[in-house]
Amino acid sequence: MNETSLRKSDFKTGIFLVLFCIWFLLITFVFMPFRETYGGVNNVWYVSPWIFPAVVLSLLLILAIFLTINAVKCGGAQDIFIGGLEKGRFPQISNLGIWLLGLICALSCSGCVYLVVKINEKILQLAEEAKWLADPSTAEQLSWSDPLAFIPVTLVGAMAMVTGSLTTVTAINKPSRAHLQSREFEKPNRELKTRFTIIVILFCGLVYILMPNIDFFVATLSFLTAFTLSFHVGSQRIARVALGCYICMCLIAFVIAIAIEYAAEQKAMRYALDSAILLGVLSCSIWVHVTCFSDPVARMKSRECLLVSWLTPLILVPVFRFGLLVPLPNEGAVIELMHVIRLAITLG
Amino acid sequence: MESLEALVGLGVFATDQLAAFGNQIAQLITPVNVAVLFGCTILGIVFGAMPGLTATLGVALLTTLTYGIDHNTAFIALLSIYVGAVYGGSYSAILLNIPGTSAAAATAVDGYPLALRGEGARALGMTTTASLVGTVFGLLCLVIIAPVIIDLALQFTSFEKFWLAMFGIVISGTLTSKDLVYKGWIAGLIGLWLSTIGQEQLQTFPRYTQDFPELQAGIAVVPVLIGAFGIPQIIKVLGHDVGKHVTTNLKRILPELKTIAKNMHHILRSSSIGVFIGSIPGIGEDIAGWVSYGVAKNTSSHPETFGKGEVSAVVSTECANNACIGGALIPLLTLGIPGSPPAAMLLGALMLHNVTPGPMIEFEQPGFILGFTAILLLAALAMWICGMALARQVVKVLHIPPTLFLPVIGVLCVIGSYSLGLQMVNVYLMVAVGITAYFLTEMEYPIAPLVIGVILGPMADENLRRGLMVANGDLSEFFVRPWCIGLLTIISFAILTQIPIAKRLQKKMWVTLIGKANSQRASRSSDE
Repeated sequence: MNETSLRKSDFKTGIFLVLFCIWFLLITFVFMPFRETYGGVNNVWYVSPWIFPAVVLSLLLILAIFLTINAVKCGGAQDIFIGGLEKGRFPQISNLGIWLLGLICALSCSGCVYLVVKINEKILQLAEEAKWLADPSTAEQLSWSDPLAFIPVTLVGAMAMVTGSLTTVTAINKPSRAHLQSREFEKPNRELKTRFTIIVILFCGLVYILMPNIDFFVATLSFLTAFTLSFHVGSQRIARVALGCYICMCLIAFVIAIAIEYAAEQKAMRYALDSAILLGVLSCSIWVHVTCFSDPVARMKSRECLLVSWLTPLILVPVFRFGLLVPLPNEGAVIELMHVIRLAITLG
Repeated sequence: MESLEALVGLGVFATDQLAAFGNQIAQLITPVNVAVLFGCTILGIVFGAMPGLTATLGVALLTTLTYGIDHNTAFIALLSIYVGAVYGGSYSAILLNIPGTSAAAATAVDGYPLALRGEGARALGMTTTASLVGTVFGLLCLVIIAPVIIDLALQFTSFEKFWLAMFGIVISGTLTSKDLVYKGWIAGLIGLWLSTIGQEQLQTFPRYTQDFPELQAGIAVVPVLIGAFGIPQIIKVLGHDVGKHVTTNLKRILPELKTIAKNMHHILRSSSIGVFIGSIPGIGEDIAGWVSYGVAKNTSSHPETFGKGEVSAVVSTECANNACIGGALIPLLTLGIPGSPPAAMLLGALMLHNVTPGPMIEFEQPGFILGFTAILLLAALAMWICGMALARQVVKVLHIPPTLFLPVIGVLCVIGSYSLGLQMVNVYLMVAVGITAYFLTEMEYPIAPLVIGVILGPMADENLRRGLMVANGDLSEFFVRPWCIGLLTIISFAILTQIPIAKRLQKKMWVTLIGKANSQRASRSSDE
């Protein structure tokens, strides 16, 4: 990343961290016991569970403010709030001014936190009083329920607006020369972004959809087939088809797995789903093999992909399941088959 | 007379220690352990040699496999892969000009020109021997320094322990940050905050769990480590077009004794640098390699040859990065603070095997440090033997493209994270941490302080509140005790020297000093 992109990302991260810290500080102060009794223990402030997170979040908040200020000073906020600035069009603001703005920001944040704590004390008092009027559990829930939860949310929104508007003012008044000079050299790296997106899709598909819903062997096989075909063969067409098939398989697995939840014959349905996905992977592999047949290099590479995709789960699954005795996340058609084969081998 | 008695006592102690050390080695040498030792060393060398795979990732993935096996065998496996991977990085650095690990980045500067001159095998032989010497030097320092630090650390109370945890985060944040220094501190604080998720230890209050029962136990360290070091590496390597590697043939690998003797002073100096840098929390083998390279160049009588294939440069960097292993283990075993990212992973592994590193380690597990050192020695020897005997075969592995092996590593990361607690939440966490860590690395945030934060968070939290409890809420106790003052001074110095005004003052001071020195030199020469 070059200097300009770095400062731009610093600005975004800084704002995010400021909001993150304020939000979690609110949660810390509002929901963690301070001097109240918890678990039958009379609390004192210095043993309270909020003390360490509060210290950490406060330090993080200070550093996030520093990060944002530095990013603004270096022109990191330029493109975010205003585009196409010309050099020297706006009057410059002094460094002291920026520090003062930062201080105002910090003070407003801490003021808001204090306000919320006070409001919450009042809410808790009200909830305590309400216990005499209504069911105690309802009253207890009242302090956590939606109508009251909007208060911290609104306050965080207000603080975001204050911080945002202050930094906007600062950004408008402080055009960065370095930023303007380097802007023309900055080109978005689409290739990198595409590759990153593919990797994230592949991992998220495996972890969040395939692993919880289908047989681990089949999940790994489909992940590896899509991954290696997307990156190793070097053909955009094959990569697109492999990724498309993978996404389709994930969607099918997700939808059918939800439907199966309510089915009577769950086991049989799950085996059918595993088999269907396995069939999908096989079809994709055959299609790739046929497509690459005329090109010796692509054929070689596709063979390598298929070899790695099949060999890895064939080795890993028995090692973990039968060697290290680790129960796998989802044991469906293929792993059950492996169990049968293992039993057949050991018994006879 | 007294000094003679002291000498005799020291001699007896040394003999006892040597006998115990020999006993430990004898106990460790079993057919299974030897097979694990050589197998994992080769695996480590392959991991280090393959661009995209790191020592940390190797230790992380193996940790999950060693969960159910005997402690000694597990530690043999982990230390062998650690030593092998740190050394293995030199293969691709010398032969391909692509450092297999960041630790070998400095090796590539002079190693590759040597390979281009047809001296690749000679360079590999020298680095193998230098790595052996470096590792042995590191373990000697571990044996000598560890008892001293343990004695000191036993005097530490909650107040000192809290500052010690903060010291680890501040120092690693300061020294590992490439861009703005406070990015390192931010990473460390994020790690500390992550460690607060789950039931806290004093009152068992569930913090930030959002009523998810899976989060009650807190964030598991190993999935965070696997995610933080594994996923960004996969994205980083596959994010760019990976070219085909071309390797050269190797001739004689065994180094000549004459060349080793000639470079002995480089070996000793670099080993010392490696141990020192390794003992600083969070600073890894890569920095040791670069610092050693810089010192070797500055002290050389022919610095112009550096970068053009200088054997002493290759020896210095490899020696330093392997000596760093012993150095990194010193704070790990004595204080529970990892000296480098792989050591952080090793800490996770130790905790998995119910070993809690820290001042009490020798009381809870008598002879543990000596046993650990014995394993390190065996790993170093196995590394040398494998390096000499199998270099030609290992080089062949470099032909495997990352597009084929990295997806497999991805699967290992997933199954490794799952197999530790048999919980899908660990895998979800690993992927989320991995993607976040990738973004953080792209934005020049160091990952080591984040990981150290996750590890040291519980220690800081517990000791802060325990200290306050002991002092009845009096905060001044944290600032008046001698060790607290010492640690606080270092922390303050590390922070204050990063303030722009302090930096400007430092710069001015240096300019004035250099100016004075130059004028004195000029007046002296004019007098002459």
